[in-house]
Amino acid sequence: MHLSLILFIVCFNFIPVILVNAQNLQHLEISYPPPMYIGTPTDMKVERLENPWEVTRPVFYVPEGTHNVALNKWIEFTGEEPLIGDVKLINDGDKQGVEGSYVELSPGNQYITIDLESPCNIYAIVIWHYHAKARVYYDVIVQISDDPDFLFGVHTLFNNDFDNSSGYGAGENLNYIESNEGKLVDGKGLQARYIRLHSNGNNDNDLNHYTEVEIFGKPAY
Amino acid sequence: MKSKSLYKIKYYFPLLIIILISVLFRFSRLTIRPMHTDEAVHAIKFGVLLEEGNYYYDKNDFHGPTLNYFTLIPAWLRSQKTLASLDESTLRIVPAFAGLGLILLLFLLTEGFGLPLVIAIASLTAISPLLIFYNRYYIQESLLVFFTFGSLVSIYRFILSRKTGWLILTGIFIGLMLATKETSLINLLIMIAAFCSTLFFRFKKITEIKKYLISFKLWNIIVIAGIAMFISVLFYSSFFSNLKGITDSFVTYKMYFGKAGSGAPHIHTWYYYLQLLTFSKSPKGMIWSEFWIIIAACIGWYSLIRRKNNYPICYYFILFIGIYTLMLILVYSAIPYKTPWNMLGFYYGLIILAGYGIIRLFIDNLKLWIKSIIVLFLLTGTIHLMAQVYLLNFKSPSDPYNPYVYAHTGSDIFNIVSRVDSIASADPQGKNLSVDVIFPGHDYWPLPWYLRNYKNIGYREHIDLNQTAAPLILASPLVEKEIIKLLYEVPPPGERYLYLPLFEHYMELRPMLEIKGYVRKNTWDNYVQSRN
Repeated sequence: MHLSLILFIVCFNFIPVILVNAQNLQHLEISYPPPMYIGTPTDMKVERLENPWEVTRPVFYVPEGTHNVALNKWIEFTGEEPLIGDVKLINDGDKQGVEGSYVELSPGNQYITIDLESPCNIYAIVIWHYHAKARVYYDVIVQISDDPDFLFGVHTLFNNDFDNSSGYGAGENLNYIESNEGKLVDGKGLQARYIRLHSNGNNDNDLNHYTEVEIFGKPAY
Repeated sequence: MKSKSLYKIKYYFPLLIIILISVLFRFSRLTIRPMHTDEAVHAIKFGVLLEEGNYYYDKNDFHGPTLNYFTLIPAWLRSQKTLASLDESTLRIVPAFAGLGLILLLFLLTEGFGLPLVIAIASLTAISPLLIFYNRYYIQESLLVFFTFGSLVSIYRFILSRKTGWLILTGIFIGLMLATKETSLINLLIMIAAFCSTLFFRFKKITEIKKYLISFKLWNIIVIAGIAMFISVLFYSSFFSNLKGITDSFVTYKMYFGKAGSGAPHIHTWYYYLQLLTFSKSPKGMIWSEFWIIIAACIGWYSLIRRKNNYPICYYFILFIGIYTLMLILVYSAIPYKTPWNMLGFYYGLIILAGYGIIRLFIDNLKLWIKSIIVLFLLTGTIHLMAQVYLLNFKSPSDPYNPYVYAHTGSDIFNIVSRVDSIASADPQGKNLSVDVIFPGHDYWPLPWYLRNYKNIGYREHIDLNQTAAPLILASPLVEKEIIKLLYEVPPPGERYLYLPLFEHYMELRPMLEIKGYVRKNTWDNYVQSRN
């Protein structure tokens, strides 16, 4: 009697664990807004500029259950109050790129910090600064941490500040042209609660913009 | 004198044309067909011989060593010293030469056969779709047919001349047969049976047969057997560097006859070979068939049987070929284990019979209108055979509807390799890029051939969860669940990189054998950057 009860409890507890572990690969579901401009301007005088994708970005694999964990989460930002829009626009799911869907932050070196509310395994971060024009935003740095002040346990996932002008260390990533596909950064499954995105103006002006940020991950616990 | 030289020109010119056609069909564009699994396996084994000078006969698989050793010749001539430097032409040129050799051997039969018969056989050999297909295939069959026919021609020449040189050549050819493929033993036993049957047809009485056999000296047989054994031992022992190979060359028969009987995946109906030769149809309506040759061979057989008087020795040689061919067809059809290239052994016999049949039709005193129909038949057959040669070898060499294609690598392999090469060339690691290839049951062939330049490539049946995932993974969909673990469960956070599909479309190594590719994002990014 006791043995069968123990067996039942063991099985009852382990079956869900087995089912959870038997996950599948799924494609990273990113919805892209329509392009706002066609073709790549040739007269782009920006150093260390990566070649744009020739075709639509291929799909990426992520573990089953991965979703946008940043949707409508709390965002802090540096600088003055936004010149255009509201920071809530950054993670509201609207990435059209038209007026009313993006926020314009103060000029110079600024950052935003997204609080995911609980630690998550992050697999991909997709950033749309402003894709109504073919622009290059400078000193784009993507960092994650469990520390809201980013003093400890900071992981830098992307950094194209090659001359360390922002002071967070020189990065080796290339500058890129904004497009409707955004910039996809590999999260490498790192675990963090806070995501910080830096930028330092763009090749048109000194202002910083965000249309949308999506963070694809799974709650760690 | 003048008429004799005219006779020579009349026949040697067509022979020259036949040889040119034969060369064209056998040697041109040898690289266009993807490497079959078996070809790739032999190529990799040859690579070891080329690079390290080592060949060890394996009694369980891979057949005999002659293919490997003879491939050294083109490799040396082309100054290819490593596996990486090899290409398909170097490998496939060996069986292609064996195919051409079948025609050249016919020159040794002009004495007795006469040039018209030699031309008839040579022209059928030159345009036979089946022969050409496997003459361009890096497996042992073409060599085996060449050595077998070589031994028959040599013994025929010995019987005609009684010169020891032909005896020695017979021994060499039989030795090479034995050192080529295990099935040569079947051919040898059938040769003896066919020889005895031919003697019976000729002499009718046992006493006469005995008298004829006594005309051969014992030392004749000793010379043939001794030289054959020596050649066989020479190859199987890897030129006396691996004596175990000698015993293994005998033990292997136990393995092979077990395989031939049952248990293997290549079990087919008894009429499998006949069906392949007579009729198959592509979805586009093209009929693949060598019935022209089979019909002509039947006429040849009929001509042989209906002759009742004593005839020159060449007649009995063709009769011997006829009996030998028929016995081979019966035995190979009775063996459940069947692969299409095994047809070559008896198929060349059919071609000789067909050549004989065609010549008999012209020699026989037939009416003009019948001869006109025969010419029309031959012209139609020639056009159909040559069209098949082109379509089967140059247009659809790996199409599953090609009757001689058997579990063949599909043309996707070229796209797969091209994509992998592009990714690697864009990566800072280049050909040192780590690649994991994971297929249950080692079903990843012929990738080891195509990816032979990659230094950090691992071939596995299952995923090793203790290892870090390579930036590039080629795998069977069957192991996708394990790949998830490898990518997103086993590695610590920070090492769970994003991967994306390597191919935009469905890809397969062979029909129904899908291959999936996974490439790490930063590796893919390098590739994208390199494209402009």
